[in-house]
Amino acid sequence: MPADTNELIVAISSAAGAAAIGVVRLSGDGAVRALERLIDGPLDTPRRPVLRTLVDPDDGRPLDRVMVWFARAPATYTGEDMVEVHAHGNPAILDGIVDACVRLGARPAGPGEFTRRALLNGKLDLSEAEAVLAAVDAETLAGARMAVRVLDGELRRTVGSLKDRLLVVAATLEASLDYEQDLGYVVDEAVADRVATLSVELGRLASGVAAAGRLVTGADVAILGPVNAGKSTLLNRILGQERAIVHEEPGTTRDVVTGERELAGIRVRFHDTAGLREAGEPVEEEGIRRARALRGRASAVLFVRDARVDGGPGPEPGDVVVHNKVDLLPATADSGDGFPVSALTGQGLDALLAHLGDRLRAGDDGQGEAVLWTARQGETARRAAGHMERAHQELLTQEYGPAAQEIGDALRALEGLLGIDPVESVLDELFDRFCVGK
Amino acid sequence: MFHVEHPVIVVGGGHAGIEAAVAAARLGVPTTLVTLEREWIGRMPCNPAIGGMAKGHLVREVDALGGVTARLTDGASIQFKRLNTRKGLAVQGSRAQVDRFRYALEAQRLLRAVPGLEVVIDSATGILAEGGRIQGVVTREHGSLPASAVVLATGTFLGGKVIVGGVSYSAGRSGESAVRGLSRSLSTAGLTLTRMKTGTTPRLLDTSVDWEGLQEQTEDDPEGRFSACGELSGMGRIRCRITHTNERTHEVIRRNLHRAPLYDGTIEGVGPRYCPSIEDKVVRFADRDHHLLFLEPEGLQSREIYPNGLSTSLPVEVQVEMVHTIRGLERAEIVRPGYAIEYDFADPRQLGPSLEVRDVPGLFLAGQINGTTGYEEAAAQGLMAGINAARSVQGDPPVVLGREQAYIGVLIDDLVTRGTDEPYRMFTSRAEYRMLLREGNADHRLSDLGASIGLLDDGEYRRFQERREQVQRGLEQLEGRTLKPGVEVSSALAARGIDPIRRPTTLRSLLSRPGVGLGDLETWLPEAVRWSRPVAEEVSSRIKYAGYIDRQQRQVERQRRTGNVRLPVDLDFEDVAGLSFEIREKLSRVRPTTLGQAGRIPGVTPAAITALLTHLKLREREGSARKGAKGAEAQRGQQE
Repeated sequence: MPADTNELIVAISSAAGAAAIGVVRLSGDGAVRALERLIDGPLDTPRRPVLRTLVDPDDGRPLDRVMVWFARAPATYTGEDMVEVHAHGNPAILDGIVDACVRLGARPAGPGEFTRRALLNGKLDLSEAEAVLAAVDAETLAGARMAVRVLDGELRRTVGSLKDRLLVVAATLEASLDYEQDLGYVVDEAVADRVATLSVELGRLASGVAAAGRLVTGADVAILGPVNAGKSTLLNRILGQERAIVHEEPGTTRDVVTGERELAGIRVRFHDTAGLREAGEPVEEEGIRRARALRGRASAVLFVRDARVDGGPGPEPGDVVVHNKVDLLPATADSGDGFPVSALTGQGLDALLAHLGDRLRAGDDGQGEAVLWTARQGETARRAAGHMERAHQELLTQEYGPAAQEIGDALRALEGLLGIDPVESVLDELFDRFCVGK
Repeated sequence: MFHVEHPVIVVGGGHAGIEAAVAAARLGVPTTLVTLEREWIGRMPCNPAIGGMAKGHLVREVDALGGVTARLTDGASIQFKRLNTRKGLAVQGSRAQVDRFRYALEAQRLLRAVPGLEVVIDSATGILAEGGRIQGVVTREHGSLPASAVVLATGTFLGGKVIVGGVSYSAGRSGESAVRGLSRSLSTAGLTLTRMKTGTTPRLLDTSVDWEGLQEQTEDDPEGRFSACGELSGMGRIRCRITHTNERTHEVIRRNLHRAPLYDGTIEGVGPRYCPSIEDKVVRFADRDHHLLFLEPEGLQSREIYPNGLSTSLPVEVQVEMVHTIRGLERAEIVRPGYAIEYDFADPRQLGPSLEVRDVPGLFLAGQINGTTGYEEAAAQGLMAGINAARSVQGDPPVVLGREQAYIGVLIDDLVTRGTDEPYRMFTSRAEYRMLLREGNADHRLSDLGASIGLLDDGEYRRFQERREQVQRGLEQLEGRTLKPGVEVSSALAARGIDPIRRPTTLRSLLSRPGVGLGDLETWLPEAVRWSRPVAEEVSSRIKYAGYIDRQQRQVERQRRTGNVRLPVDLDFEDVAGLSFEIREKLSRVRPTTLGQAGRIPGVTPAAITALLTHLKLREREGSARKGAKGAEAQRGQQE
């Protein structure tokens, strides 16, 4: 991720999760201009915090009442123009601010990018940068990060051995391209099979990483389903507290209501959502849109339906289906696949939660190896798996050039993880360990 | 001949020397080529072939820049083959068997025809390098020849020693005397020289070979050519035949290993791992019961057969015994024995990317003297050295090709950055941007440059521009024509084994499907039949590999951002904080010109690159007002 310095970057700089105050930082060319768009007015005095209303740059809708200040290059942390927005610490608000900045041309910052810029702009030297890292580490997630380091050796062995096998395949393919004459380097079905196998194994590793990441950062579970299926009751039952307002009127829940509890050793954030139906009015419509959006980032979806009602919006593949209100059904009724539950009485809840816990601990496909790892590394493994899958396709259609490139890219991805590739990942390697925004 | 003072002197009349001399002279700088014998110019001491994977790419690049090897090859071609034809267009290459006598004649004729180029028959015994700059060369018979720039392309002649069995003697090649004195002169000028080794096969008399029943390897592309212009040889065509060694051959070799110079300590130089002698193969691949041999005629009139794969320096009587164990060669007569040759080469890390010796401005090295092997590698370096020698005389900046631009760029960057400890051969796997560097698009990559340097002549450049327009038009036509789903279209597609379309589809997207070729689209694009092969292949490649080409271009862009950060010439690595002693030493030896090049030096770590980058940034800021630093401190306090 080597990038032009001075390109405008943005990130949430405060800790993840809800807090009283959250900080969004911008650095780079145009930072002040972007801020002026966001507060819809000029700013003239640097380094003086002012209270303003932050608005959506597209429609002028107010986002939050915030404290902002700015400073001009080079006298800033990064050595570039910088802006800070101190907003209310609601993750949705902070995400909204970042999103607005992105629409104004900022790029989400990579891990450690602010500090890297400080380094590149001569504001910090290497040892200072490392000290920043140490400080960040010490104050957050100390235990979990320690675990990451301890298990790092295991990761290296796993990735290292995959990389070695990949190297053999790559070498065979390269030899078949470069030596037209007999040296016994033939790319046959066995080679193609090995490519396919490596793709599957890398994919499994990536799934394991996702599972492991949940151990560190927690997991999000979305509670979705038709209106009046009892989603809010289920949330309250799971949390053991009256978190959400429950009412028999359909469409009571219109925004996302979140509550947290531990499950199988993982911090799980349950998100109750607006019931899915043809919305009657704009606010509810927005609620339904948010509910759908949650699908994308949730680790699991509890799809709640009223066991007595047929039809209506249905679950998607992979959803955990909850047949709620079974207490109102005759004892003999068969509700099909899924979990018969009564959110009201607690019936069937233990089985549901046990299943959910197992699922969050396991990989996405249920067979991942739980190597503790960062999400970024998981993403790299997933990318490598994709390269190998495409390499397999290319080999099958006799396109060795593209196949070799895919394998090469997979190899480079793994080497990047192991810190081998010198130029591409130089700075990433060092700054990988920083939190985004520091 | 009376010698007139010329600003550029090229030493050596091999494939590097020819390119260098012709390029320098054609760029308008009067040039002298010093070589030992006129008849030795353009010889092929090893196999009678030009091209092969990656090597063919080099030849086409040389052609696109205005070099001569491709034309010379086409003018002497007696067989042309396309390689890797079943592995996709992206990775195809070409190789020509040539009549090596015709090749040398054509080369000599060419040199005579280039204005401003004079050939001096003599032996260079030293360089003149007073005051830290090249002044000329010293020759045995013509004395001192002054020059502003000198290209050394001495091949295996520099301190050459031929070795056959227990016999060794000073020679540049079998039967040709070596160049002595020059090595010492280079050492005196401060260059580090080391020994390298290569070898060749015995030559067989064709009438003594029993051809009956040997598998034939015939030409697959009689119209094939390397140069976009120029004439084909019009010569007769040859067939090669294939035979192989067997257990008895290997037994003979094993029994005589103690007499092999490679194994008895006579040879110190490192030989190429990828082109091993037959004794090397028998030792290193002990589990193989045979090795293939390609019997290649050395020319149409020649009686000599080159048994490709049988390179050896075993004693002559062992060579005879070994050859006679091989099918078809039972009574074969050895015309000339195989031999190994050791020679001096200069560590190429002493060169800048223009192939100029860093510590002796004006002195350029090209070819085997830089540790490479192969006619094509030599020609590519010769061309660049010749161009840059001429430009240095004219006061123009050197031409340096990037790794994303040409195999020539990869070759030279590898040499000057990483060095080599065995004869360096080009492979496609050395190029990280292989999908961009196809053999077929060498002209599209380099013709503009060739024309702007002034080496590619106007006519050729115009013809290239026409091809480029045809490709552009072809792409537009394919994009512009859309098929609509229907019974007629479906059955026409089915007849060609193509899956039906479900929605309106451009010919372009149809062609991007695996297994679909331009020929399949004839019904809808009849004019494609008239496209020349280079145009048709370029159009197909650009469409079929569009995704990969884009991806590599993005990689190039990414690489450019950090990789192309220039390291100042006066950068002292001692000043860079945080570098280990070893890394400082490596950097000082190579003296990389960019951050990317620094990162490619073996042993230079990511942390070292970070340290370099930081140093550069700090340096950049020095001199500019440091006001605000105090504010920055305060700012930082506020951040934490």
